[in-house]
Amino acid sequence: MESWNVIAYLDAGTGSIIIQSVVGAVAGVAVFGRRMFGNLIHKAKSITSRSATTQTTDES
Amino acid sequence: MTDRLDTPARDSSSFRDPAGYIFWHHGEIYRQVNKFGQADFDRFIDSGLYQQLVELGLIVAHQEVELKDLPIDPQRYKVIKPEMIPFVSYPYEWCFSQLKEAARLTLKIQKLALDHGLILKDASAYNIQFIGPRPVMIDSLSFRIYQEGAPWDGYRQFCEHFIAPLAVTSLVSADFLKNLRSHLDGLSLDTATSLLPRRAKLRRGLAAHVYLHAASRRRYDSAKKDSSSTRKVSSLAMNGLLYSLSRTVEKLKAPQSASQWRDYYKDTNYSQKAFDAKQKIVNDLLGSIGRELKMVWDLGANDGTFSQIAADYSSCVVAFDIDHQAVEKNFHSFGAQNRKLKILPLCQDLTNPSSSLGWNQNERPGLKERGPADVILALALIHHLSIGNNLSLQQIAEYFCQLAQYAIIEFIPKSDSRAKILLRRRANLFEHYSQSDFEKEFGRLFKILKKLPVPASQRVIYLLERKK
Repeated sequence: MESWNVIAYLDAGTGSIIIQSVVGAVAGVAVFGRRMFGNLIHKAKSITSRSATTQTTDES
Repeated sequence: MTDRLDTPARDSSSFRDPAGYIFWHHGEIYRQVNKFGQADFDRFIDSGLYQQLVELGLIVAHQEVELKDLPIDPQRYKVIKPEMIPFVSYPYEWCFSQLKEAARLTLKIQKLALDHGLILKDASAYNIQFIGPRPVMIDSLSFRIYQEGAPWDGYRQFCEHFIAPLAVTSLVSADFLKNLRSHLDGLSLDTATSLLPRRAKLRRGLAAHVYLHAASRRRYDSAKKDSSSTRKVSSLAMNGLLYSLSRTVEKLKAPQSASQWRDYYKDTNYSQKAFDAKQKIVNDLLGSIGRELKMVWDLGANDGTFSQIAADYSSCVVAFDIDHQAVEKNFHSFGAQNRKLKILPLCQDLTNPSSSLGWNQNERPGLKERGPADVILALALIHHLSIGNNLSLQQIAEYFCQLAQYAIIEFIPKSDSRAKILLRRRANLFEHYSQSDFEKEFGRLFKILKKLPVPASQRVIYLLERKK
């Protein structure tokens, strides 16, 4: 297993490493999820607006 | 404290990082890069990160130099000459917004570093300095090659140097930052949790980065088994961590508390005519010094009205005030851009100025040790030091004499309504506080070059030059 902190001059602290991996993962998933959700909404909106434009063109 | 001898002298604050150190040589500042930090430094330059940070104004620029007269050092890889910072300041002298800007800058640099395959190996607030209102990173050896999955070694330091003091200042005590004098390596998370109100736990960012972080440290830091050495922090988690830290910093707002001084100039005891005349006198006296000024210290600067005038004559003006709200106001004030860029507002209590602190009592030099300035401005200040703090005019003259070659000092007599407020219950104590006493005591150490009464007031402004 690889050890990350063998060349660190600063003691990162075991507790700090553990908490950053946990908090970071939770926040990372939340940010990723929010971005995906935003993309989905954006896509849905663009599909809806495209079909609305097509409909208007068809009607004219 | 910095040793500026002709032989290379290591800066007393630069001893932690084996990758290199700062030293002084012939009065100039340099940084040695050791072979220990060679790979990381080369990547920092070759990846384009250094260039990008310089172009964005986020780090001090440097030049590689070859100094012929340096003693042989087998550890030496390179010597670089960084751009000089006009006045070095410390987090315990900053207002809330300055510390917040420093935190923002650290996170911004960390994000850019990760984009270039590097990571900040520390997150010290002392790695940030201000050039006027602009924060800059000063440590070009703070970067190391990022290995996918590695944690951020500086995370705890970031929380203790930025998140914890910002939270306590925002939620508990508006002038808390001055207490960082006794917490030079940041505010420990345990101390922060004991100071913060219970409602702080309801804030997601503080719950994670202060409370859970403190609990995790208590549980794991002294555990016999080190369970962190193989723990990965994925790039998703690293991005999430930086996002969460940014949100936490942004949600902490500057405290609003009662301030005696913030609106001082709206509440003066003299007319607009006298105030305008005072500005003209200060302007004329600064102009009459007749030499290029590099450093002016405005003592008791309040919101920096007179510092702005001084900025027309000096390449750097440090605007000190005891009141953190006045310093906040000065930091956020909008003046002419060319003036504002030269003004550094700082908190400083002149009755207890920053002393030399840290290892060997010279890691963080005191106020006097960072001088002398070319000129000090002490406008409407003497009566506070003398009447408000029982200092004799002789003591004030002796102190000012150590701070600068020239002094522009406003003398306010006891009959002035401002002085009367201070004297209300102690009128008989200050028999040696008069204009003639002022001239006698300051005249021992200074030459009185000019003496101009402020029209429509009882005040007098002096231009003094220190005797050789």
